Amino acid sequence: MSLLRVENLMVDYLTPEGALRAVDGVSFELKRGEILGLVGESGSGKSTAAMAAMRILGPPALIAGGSVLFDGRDVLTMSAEQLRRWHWREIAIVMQSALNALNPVLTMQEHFLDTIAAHRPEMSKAEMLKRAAELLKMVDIDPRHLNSYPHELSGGMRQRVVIALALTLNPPLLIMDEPTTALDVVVEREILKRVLQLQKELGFAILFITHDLSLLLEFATRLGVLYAGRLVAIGAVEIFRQGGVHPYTQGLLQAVPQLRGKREAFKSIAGSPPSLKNPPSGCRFHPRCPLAEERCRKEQPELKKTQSGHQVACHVRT
Amino acid sequence: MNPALLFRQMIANRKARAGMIIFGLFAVVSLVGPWLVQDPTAFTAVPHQPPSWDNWFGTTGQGQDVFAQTIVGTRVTLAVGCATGFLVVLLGAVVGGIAGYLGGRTDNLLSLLINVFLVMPGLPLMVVLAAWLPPGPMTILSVLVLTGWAWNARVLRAQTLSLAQRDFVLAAKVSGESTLRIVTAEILPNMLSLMTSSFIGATIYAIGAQVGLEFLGLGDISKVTWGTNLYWASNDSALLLGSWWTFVPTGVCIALLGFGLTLINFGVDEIANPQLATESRWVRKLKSRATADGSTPVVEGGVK
Repeated sequence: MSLLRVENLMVDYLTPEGALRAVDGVSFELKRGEILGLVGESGSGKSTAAMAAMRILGPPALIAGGSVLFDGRDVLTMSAEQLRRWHWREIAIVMQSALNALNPVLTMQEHFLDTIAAHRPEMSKAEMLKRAAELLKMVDIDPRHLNSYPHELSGGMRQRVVIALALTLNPPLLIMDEPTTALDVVVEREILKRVLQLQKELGFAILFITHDLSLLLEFATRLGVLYAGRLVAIGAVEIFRQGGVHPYTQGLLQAVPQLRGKREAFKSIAGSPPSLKNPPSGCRFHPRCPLAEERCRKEQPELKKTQSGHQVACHVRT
Repeated sequence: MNPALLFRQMIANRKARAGMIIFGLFAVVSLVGPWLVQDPTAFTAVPHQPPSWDNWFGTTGQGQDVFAQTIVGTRVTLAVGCATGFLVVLLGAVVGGIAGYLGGRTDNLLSLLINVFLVMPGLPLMVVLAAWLPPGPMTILSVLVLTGWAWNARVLRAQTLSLAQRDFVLAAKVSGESTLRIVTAEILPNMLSLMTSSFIGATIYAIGAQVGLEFLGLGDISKVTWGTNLYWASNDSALLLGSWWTFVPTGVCIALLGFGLTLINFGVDEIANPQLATESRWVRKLKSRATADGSTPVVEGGVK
């Protein structure tokens, strides 16, 4: 059984001009210990989909349809109390901005104690402190920093602390929402290496959200590509490494520089992502698609399996 | 936010629109009302008469027309209220703005002044000053401004202090704009919504305080205002005689004006913080389904 199964998820944002569908029928599943990457441009709905599946997106967002099952349990019918228990123990999230995720007036120790005390009240304070020190060591931070305030740590260290906090209760699923976007590539690399080591040791699954496709190609098991609130391609990462099938995926991949192989000019995708207030008819990618046909303008493509076992929403390629 | 845009948004906002209609009605009455009704001080009828066709709101203990008094009283009450509100915000913006922007010793001195006025007990001081100075609307106005400006100065100083640290102010400084221009063109427009709501809050306060002082007999009792109407009603033993019509119309007007101004304030709040507007719309649409705990609500099919 899959750990997380998201089926036909629809998420709306209520705006003064009416409801705006930010996620339109997205489906994916995540098995235990797997790393699923979600890529897309800003506003493609990748964070919205993940956060709505976790039910942590407050109004004016709302789930307008679909289903979310976690380990066989229906997330959409959970009460506030059930959600509170589920969050952090079984599903944890690492937010993009570590600076905003940490409370500036609390020390690291207080952050850990708060979390542990809320979910494991039976633990003694000494045990909690031991666990906090252990968690910091796990992300290569000296436990003496337990008494430090967030501003005393560097950006990379803060992000590590946030990751350690997310892993406090050993959740089987960790959602990482652009965890390294604010960091430079060297620090990014170090942190990701550590996260992947931990993932192997502890065996949790990761839902990794980013706009950096090249990053995901390196370590994800499977990849999903979102465009304007819809999933356009999803499947094993190998197919993406070989260049992808969907024209949008191909466009993204051509914009990634290659270290080895032939020297080729980068190609960018012409135009910019559509407004969700007034999305294009048919396939949402058709105004920018080099392969667009008459049919693409009228009919909305569904996700279909290709020979490679990869699902693609494209009239031309399936 | 520029004033024209703020005004357009206020018209589009339901609460602000309702508030402006109520306030506008009183403003029109205060402007033209005194010419449309009979002399409010003339002894025209039998005293203590309940509402009738001749005297819509009845007559006072002196045989004056209550309707005329209520209408005529609007002018001074509204004028003193708005002028006080305006002066309080102006004084607050000038003192608070200078203190917050210049900082250092100037800030220390002005903050000291603000704090001195803040710790002075406003209500007794107001009563003492009003009793000591020659009675009249101008006295009431000065007393209210004197005892009411400090709080606004404090709020606007804090806001200026935070705005003065922003990069765009720094950029203006580096590009050689004068202090006056930075304060008036860069900082003040960012405080417009705060100042508007301060103005409305101060006006509501001023109307209440003014009516209160006049009710105590500390105003000029020969003038017709809402406060003196209540003073005379009390003086003529309205409660004892059961002549409710001598004080209810004035009371209702005060409450209605306060209500209208508060509505405008809510509207300005929603405009300055659009999330409030979306939220109230959200709650209206979803009613009981809206969640207070911040988790994502599930509404099959969405909302239209």
